[in-house]
Amino acid sequence: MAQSTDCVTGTEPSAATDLDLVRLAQAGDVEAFGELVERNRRAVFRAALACVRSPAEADDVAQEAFVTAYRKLGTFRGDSQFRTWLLSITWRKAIDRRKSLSRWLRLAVSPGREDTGEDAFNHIERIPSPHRSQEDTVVDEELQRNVTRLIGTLPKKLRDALLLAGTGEHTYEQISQMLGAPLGTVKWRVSEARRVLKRKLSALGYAYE
Amino acid sequence: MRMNKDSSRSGWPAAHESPIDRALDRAVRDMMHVDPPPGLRRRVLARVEPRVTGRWMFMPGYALAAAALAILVLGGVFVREHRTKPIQTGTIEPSARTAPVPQPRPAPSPNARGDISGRAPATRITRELIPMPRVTNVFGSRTQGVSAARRPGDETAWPAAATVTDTPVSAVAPIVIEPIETLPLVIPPLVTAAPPLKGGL
Repeated sequence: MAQSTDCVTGTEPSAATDLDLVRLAQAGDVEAFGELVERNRRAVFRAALACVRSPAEADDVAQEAFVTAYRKLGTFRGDSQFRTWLLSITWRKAIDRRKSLSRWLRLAVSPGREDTGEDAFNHIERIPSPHRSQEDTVVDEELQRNVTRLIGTLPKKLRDALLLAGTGEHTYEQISQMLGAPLGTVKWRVSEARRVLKRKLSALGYAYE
Repeated sequence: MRMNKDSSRSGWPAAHESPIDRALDRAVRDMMHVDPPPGLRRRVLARVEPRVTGRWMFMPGYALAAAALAILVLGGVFVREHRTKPIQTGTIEPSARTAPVPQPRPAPSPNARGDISGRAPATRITRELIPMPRVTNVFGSRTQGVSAARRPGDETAWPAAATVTDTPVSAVAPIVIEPIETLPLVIPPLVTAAPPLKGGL
C-alpha cells in the first residue's frame, strides 16, 4: 500500500516543513503561502485536471483552490497533512466546476451528447517521453487515441480514480480523502477501470498476450 | 513510473504487466503529466495579497446599489414635480393672467368696424367659467380650435373662444378703448359727530 511518504512531490527540498509555512502564513506571511503554492501547485493542478479534464479549467480551479485555502487557513489545525487538506478543497472546487461545465455543455453546446471526453485531451500539450522512439510513437498513436477515447467513456467514479492514480502526484490515501471513499474502494476502482479499458480494447481488436 | 509502483503495491500481479497495461499507463501518463501554466504562484498571490482591502471588493456592489437607489428616489421626485407643475400652470388661463393689466389692443381694421359696433363687450374669462376639457382631443377641430396666435383682424378663428367660454359668437368683440375721463379728486371735509360726553362736560 502506498504511504504518504511515497508521494513524489516534485518540490525542492526546504528546511521549513509545510506546517511551518502554514503557521507563518496564518500569521500573515504571504510569502510563506507563496512557498506553499510553489510546493503544491503541480499536485493541485493535476487533481483539478483529472476532474475537469481541461488545462485551462484546471488552472482556474487551482487558483480558486489556493485562494480558498488561504482564506480558510485559520481553520487548518494541522490534524492532517496540508496537502491532503488542500487537495480536498481542490477536488470540491473541481467538482463544482465540472458540474457547471457539464450543465453548460449539455444545455448550450451539444445537448444529448454523452460526456465521453473524447476530445477533452486532444489539445493538451503532451510531454514527449525521452524513452520513446519516434517509431514507437507512430505505432502507438492509434492505440493512444483509442485509449484516450475509451477513458472518456468510463464511468466518472472509475475515471476519477484512474486519472488521479495516474498523475504521479497523489497517494492512494490522498485520493481516498479527495474522493471521500475508502482506500480499498479507490484501489478497486482503479483496477476496475483498467479491466474495463482492456476489455474494450480487446473488443476493438487489440489483442495482447 | 509512479502509477506502476502504486499498481504493483495495490495488488497488480506481475503477470498482468502486459503490453496493454503499459499502453494504458502511458496513455494516462500522457494525459495527466501536464504541468500547470507558469505564473500560478504569482496569480494566486495577486489574488491573495490584497486581503485587507478584500472587504472593499464589495464596495462597487454597494456603491452601485446606493446609486441605483438614489436614482430611483430622484427620479420619483422629478416625476412627481413634473406631474404637478402642468396642473398648476394649466389651471391658470392666459386671459386671467393678463387680466389685471389691461393692455390696449390694436385698433381694428376699418372693414371690421361695422361688426365691432354690434358686439357686446368681451366677457372676462375667468378660471371658474372655463371647465377643463376632458375630451379625447383637447385641441378640438381646426375650425373650433383655440389659437393663441390670433392675428389682428382675423375674425374667423375667434369663435373658438366662444366655444370654450360658452358665450355666443356675437358677444365677443375686441375691446374698444375709450378715452379715460378723470374727475378731479374731491375730498369732503371730515365731519365728526361726536356724542355728548357723559358728566355734562
